[in-house]
Amino acid sequence: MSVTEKGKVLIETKGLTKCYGTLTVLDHIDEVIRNGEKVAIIGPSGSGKSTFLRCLNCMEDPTAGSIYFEGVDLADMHVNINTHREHIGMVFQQFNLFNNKTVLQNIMLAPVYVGIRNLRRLKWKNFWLKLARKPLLPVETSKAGIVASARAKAEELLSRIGLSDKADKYPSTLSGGQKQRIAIVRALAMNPKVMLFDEPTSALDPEMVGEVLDLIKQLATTGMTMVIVTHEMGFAREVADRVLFMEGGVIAEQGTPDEVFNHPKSERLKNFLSKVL
Amino acid sequence: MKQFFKKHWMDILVVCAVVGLLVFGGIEIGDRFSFNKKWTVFVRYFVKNNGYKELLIGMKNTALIAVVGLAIGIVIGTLIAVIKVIPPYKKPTRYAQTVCNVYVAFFRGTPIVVQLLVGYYILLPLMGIKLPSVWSCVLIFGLNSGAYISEIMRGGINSVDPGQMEAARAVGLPFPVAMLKIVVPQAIKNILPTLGNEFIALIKETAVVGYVGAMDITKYFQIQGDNSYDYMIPYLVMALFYIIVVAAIAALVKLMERRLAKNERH
Repeated sequence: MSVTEKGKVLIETKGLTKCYGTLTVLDHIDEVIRNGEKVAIIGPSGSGKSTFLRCLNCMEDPTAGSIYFEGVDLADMHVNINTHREHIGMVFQQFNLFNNKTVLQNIMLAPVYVGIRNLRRLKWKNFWLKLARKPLLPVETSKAGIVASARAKAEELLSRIGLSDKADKYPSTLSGGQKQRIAIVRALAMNPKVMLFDEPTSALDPEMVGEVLDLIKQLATTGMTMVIVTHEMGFAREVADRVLFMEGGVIAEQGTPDEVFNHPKSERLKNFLSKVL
Repeated sequence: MKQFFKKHWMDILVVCAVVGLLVFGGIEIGDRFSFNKKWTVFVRYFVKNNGYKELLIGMKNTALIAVVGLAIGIVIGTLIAVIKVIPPYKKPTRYAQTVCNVYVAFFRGTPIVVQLLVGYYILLPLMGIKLPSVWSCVLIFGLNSGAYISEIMRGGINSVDPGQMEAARAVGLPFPVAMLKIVVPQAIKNILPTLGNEFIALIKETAVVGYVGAMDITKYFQIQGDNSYDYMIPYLVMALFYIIVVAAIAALVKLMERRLAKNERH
């Protein structure tokens, strides 16, 4: 959640194209997302906004073009995508909490896995250094330490959203709003550099939308970089620094919320806004 | 108790029928097939000649082949199912998938007896592996059930919401870890009733291991029939045996299912 180097380019897409068979969903998109920016993506359904978001962490492999995340091309098949996905949090429309794990396990799973993997890599490196009779790298943590710190972090995050009492419950016993807040917290547990929200409130009952939006707003004030696909225009206007309007696989118009919502230039955006506002 | 009868009336009926045959069957046919005489012969071979000890060995072997076979089958089946659902972007994946397809086609396309004969008399000796017949049966039954379980498991994996996999990948878990920790446990829960059926089928299939000289329940009763020149009672008792074992396991599977369902709700 660092606010360091604000304004530095975090994600850059160049000629990002995605086709399903003959259907072109994204058409040569060039876009830059900077550190600390809050970008909202709006547009009619089928305009490719979800696909664009899912391409940003390669949930969908782009057909052509490249996605630079901190200067590394994620679309390159030789890049280990998993080490980069650790830094990109994602929240889904359908929550997608792990049904076979308790809430606490849901949050702890990835940090523990990554911590133990890094520890194993460090030890392996030390093994070769030992053979080469070179000075060893310091091993600061242990497995138990990693689990303990992940648990502490998870409990702290849970208490922040006021769901500490649900820590040992299974996701099937929770309400939609609770599930989505836990899904957000699960992504936060990895200390991501950017959060991608894929219509986070579309599958919720109206009365639960508020609690999820409040959490996202709260997150926005901490300076987290966020990309949000949403149908909640009021929310987009309030939170976003920049709004992208997508239509037919391209970014048809973009600007500050004021520009987009109050002074739309293109006819298509005017048409869209008149329907949703 | 009433519920028990309601649920298991079929089993009870079959058991009663077999017992009835055992008790009254001989009397009807007449003096030449006297039931009492046959029963005395059976008991003599079974108890006085220590037949029950052999039966215990047979039971142990049947259980061993079925249980270890199922365990091997689950491991192999899961492996094949996982390989089959990997998106085939890379060449090694496609090769592995072809190998899996050939494996499944072979084991589903030939009878288990043929696999036992080919494996025990030809392939294992050719490879220079010397195994006691029971353990080669364990191996071949494991490979065989692996092919069947792989298809069951693939169905189970497909029945899990794809969002689970996506979420696991999105937090940075690699495909195999996401599969093993998130998708496969949920898949196994979904296919547990089918796996129970597979286990029951496996127990019944083990009746053919006598072909390669392994001692199991069937083989034991066959030998007893051979020795006493009377097959009626040994074979009926054998049928009874299988029914009791299978009914017990079916009840166990049901219990386990209910436990898991409970676990999900709370």
